[in-house]
Amino acid sequence: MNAFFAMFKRELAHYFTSPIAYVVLIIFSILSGWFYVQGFLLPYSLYCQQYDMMQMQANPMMAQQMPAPNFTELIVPSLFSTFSIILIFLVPLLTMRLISEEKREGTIELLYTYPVSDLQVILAKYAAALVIFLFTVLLCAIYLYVPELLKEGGGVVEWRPILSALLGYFLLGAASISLGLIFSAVTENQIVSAALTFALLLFLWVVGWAPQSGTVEGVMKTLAESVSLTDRSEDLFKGLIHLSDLVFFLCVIVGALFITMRSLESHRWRG
Amino acid sequence: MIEVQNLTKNYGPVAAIKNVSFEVGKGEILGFLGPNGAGKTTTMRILTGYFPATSGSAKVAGYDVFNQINEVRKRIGYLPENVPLYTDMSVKGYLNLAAQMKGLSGSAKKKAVDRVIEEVGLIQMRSRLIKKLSKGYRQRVGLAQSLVNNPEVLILDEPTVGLDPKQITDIRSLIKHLAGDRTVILSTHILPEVSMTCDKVTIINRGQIVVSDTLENLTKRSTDFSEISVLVRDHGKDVGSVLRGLPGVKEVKSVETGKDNGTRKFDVSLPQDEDLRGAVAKAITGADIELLEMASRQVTLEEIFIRHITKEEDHSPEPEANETATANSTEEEEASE
Repeated sequence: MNAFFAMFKRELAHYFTSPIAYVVLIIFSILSGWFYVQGFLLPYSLYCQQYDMMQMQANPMMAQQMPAPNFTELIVPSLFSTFSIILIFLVPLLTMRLISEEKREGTIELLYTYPVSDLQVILAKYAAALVIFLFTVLLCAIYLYVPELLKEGGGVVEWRPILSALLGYFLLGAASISLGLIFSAVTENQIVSAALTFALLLFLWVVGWAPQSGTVEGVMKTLAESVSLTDRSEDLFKGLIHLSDLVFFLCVIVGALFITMRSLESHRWRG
Repeated sequence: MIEVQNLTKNYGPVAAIKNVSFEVGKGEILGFLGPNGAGKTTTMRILTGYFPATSGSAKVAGYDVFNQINEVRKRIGYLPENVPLYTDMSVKGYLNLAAQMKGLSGSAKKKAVDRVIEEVGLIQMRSRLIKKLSKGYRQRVGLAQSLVNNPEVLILDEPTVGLDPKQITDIRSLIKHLAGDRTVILSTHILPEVSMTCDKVTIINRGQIVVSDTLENLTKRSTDFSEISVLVRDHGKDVGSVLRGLPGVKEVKSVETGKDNGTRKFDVSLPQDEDLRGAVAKAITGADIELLEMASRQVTLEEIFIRHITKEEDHSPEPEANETATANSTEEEEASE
């Protein structure tokens, strides 16, 4: 445990001294802030005004066509879908150097000869990346609290579906980071590590389009539906928590950490 | 303290080391000598548990490196050749991390870190970032890292490589001082390093132990007084016949000194069982010739080394080109690790 915390502290400090953490968090804040305000918050408030006007003109026909403005229903799912696309670009930045740098610099040789297990090292690095990612989760939570402040009396935001959405977003990020960790363990080149992570995450996003387009059938369709990371989180974004989705993300994380561990061990027999 | 028996490590079809056996007692400093790619790093990596051997057994501090590797790791300090450090950290921060990784915490950790910082002479540099340190100081940080768990066994892979002469002397005396009652294995391809710091020498070439003995025995075994060289100023006298006229002198060879300042040099072969150096000196001065220098040809470690390694190569049945290729690929394998 001692070694875990020591390594965790070092990795976390490295994120800020390097300064990958600032880069990732600033990029995320700017992009997500732009999308949120320009793409969701302003259109939503516009919609609310229009809706109120329609109601006042008492045109029942029109009013029925326009659904009542509900922040959680209209905004949250597509907002988080947008954020998960930003993640595809940012997760490789978070994970690319975690193990590959140790390999390139040779510092991994010392880790291998210290009385610590590979698992401790991997978990410490994973936890450090998760903490940086958690800052973005926190930012999302703040975004969603803003409408509550804007409207007098509040009551705009329904917390339970939003917590579900935040959980979905967190699991998506945690799974993405664990996948990135694999690639940082298999190469000593950070660019290769980042490129492979990016490619995989991109693929796991676009593979979800295939079933909707109707170009794949049968087993392939089921497969495409089930492996898409972003699709898996869609229901959570809507506030629907399925056990199968939770288990899916957990399996991805545990599986990825396991592969990373095996990959680190491989130097012992590969020679 | 360290017992190695028939250790073999294969990288695919290439054997990096073959049947390596040696022993190091408590408190001894073993110089592990060999040309680049001879298998020094491979042997050390097996001892530190970096990877296992293909066959054979090794014990460090009484624990088996295959079955009880964690016990071994707690008792060793290891400094790899390229001194890998987290250069973005401060000296103190890094040593704290190393101490924690080695299982120390709280006041024991603080004490250990302060102790090693003082031992290796890093007090002035303790809060500097490692990337701002010179190579010599980085080497000290590497040493401090290996010492922080107060290990019984120190394994140092080419600890002076890439340093300037002053730093080399500093690090060598530091190692000697740090050794204390620790057992130290130190690999090097620099021969004077061994004569200056080590008690025992193991010469390894192409993955096999060529010779393993105490430094004293090694140099004694190959020193005698049967070969001496004399330097004289002759003033036109025939020094050669004076020397040849001495009873017992077997052969006199004039050696080209390359300098035309009236001096001449001779190599004289004397009988093995008799010390005739005094007689030679008397004969020369008796003939009114100025004797400027007389030296018995002390066999240096270099010569022992070259002799053992070339002897190996003469006996080698494989063609030379193939051998070099093997040696190179072993080196590459090591580098790629």
